[in-house]
Amino acid sequence: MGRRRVVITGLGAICPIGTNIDEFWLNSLAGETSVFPIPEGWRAYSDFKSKILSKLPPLEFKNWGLRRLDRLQYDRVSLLAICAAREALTNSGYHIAVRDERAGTFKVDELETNRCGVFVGTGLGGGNSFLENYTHQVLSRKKREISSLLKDLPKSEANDSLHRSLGQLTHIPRFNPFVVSMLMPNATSASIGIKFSIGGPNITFSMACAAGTVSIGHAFKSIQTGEIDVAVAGGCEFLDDRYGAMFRGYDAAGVLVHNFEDPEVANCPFDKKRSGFLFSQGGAAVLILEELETAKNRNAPIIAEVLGYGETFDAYSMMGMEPDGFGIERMIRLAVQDARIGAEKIQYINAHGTGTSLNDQIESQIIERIFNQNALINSTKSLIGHTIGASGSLEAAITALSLKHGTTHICKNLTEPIANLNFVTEVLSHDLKYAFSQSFAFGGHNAGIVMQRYGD
Amino acid sequence: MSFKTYDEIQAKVCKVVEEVLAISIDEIDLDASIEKQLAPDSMDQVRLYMVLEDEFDGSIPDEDLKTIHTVRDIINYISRRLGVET
Repeated sequence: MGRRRVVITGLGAICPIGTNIDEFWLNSLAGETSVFPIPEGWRAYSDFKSKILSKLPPLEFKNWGLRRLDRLQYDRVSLLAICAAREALTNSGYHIAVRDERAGTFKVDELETNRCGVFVGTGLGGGNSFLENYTHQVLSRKKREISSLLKDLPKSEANDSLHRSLGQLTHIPRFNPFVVSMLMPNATSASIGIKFSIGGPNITFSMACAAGTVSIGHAFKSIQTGEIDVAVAGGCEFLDDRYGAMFRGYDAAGVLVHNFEDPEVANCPFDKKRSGFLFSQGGAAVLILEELETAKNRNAPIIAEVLGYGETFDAYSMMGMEPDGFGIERMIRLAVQDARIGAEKIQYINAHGTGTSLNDQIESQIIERIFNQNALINSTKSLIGHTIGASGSLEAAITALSLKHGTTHICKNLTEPIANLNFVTEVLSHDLKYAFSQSFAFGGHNAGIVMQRYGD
Repeated sequence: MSFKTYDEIQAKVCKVVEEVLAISIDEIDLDASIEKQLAPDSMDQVRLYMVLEDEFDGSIPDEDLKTIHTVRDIINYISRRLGVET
């Protein structure tokens, strides 16, 4: 079987600026953000250099057909992934019906499920469930013991102070018997496969900030080579815990935004004033990838075509980027070679654009070296912050919609660009045929996807 | 939510059984064996007690679970724990 053409026929997303793909797209064009101060309560446990984060909107999971049992059995990261998958499948024209009411599972009519794969990226998987249950394991019995001891002590300021501190050591009320299946990273792809009864290859990719791009790339390849006909592909992340430990992990590494002369514009990828990335509470995006003829036969809506994929590994440092960016350059050249176009044909680049000093410097130098200098460049992270394992798929979704609609969102808060590149500062109409979305990850993983407007 | 009567607790327990085991409330046999008839899959039993704990905002210790065999046992157990006359 030769190379088959692969198209995107459905999108679903949840992120800080949208609870569905349309809301996300329109709010991105409007330059919306969701920046909030970090929870006041976290300051009781440690000091933080960064002070802001990008929050998810309130979510009612029952709106996506999920039950209390799902909320109790799945980590929030998997719930986000399931919701995005459901929206993407529906938008792709598939009808979702109940398969087993007791199990809470669905079937996707007209989908040959054994010829459909699930490919999901996540950075930390169900880390929230692990940490929440850990609070119960460590604190519940010991708190009762200490409270009991304090009751027998005479009233004093020290006693009151101990009571206050004890009150700050909160934990979930009950240890969850499903915690193992909630925290394991592969629960993200497995939960989609189980929920929607999809029996083809089911793979979780854990490449930190590149996971959401790698998953789409591998789904694309699996369809292109004929292994499967349809893929539910994307990424998801949920980074939250009651004590701010996840936030502190990134904060302690010094990668979060920490220049707060004006918090409103502190998150400014590719700007001279940038000081790190905006921590995001998370999100998810799912793309339905489909072999072109399969899509046409069922009159599926076609959003864009995936043309090529490239991935490389720096083999350099766990958290530092290779200064010359040769690993990234190799990845880009592999991707455009796979797409059978020249890099100069790319008219729009959805950059990794984190806002860290080194990323933006190296990324802009690579873009200068390889691409057409007129190519439009933006960073979706300038709007929603860094959603780690979800970021690549949210950005791929934006890239596909940019090709479809011939317009792009701005690179928010960019006033003093670090390079003489064509950064997007206005939402305008463009004749876009080819676009590229790229991600780089802690560990040294680089991945990029070439897309083409459908119909050319 | 506070429960004042045995009937209120029974109604809520039956609602949870319906929610978890997909058995319509009218068809729940209060004296049927949970382990042998209503939820032979042990994971369904885990789910049932997890949702009951969530609903009534409490914990059922493992040693207490050994005394529960039917839905009526659940209703009686929760009523006792909440101080409601059985």
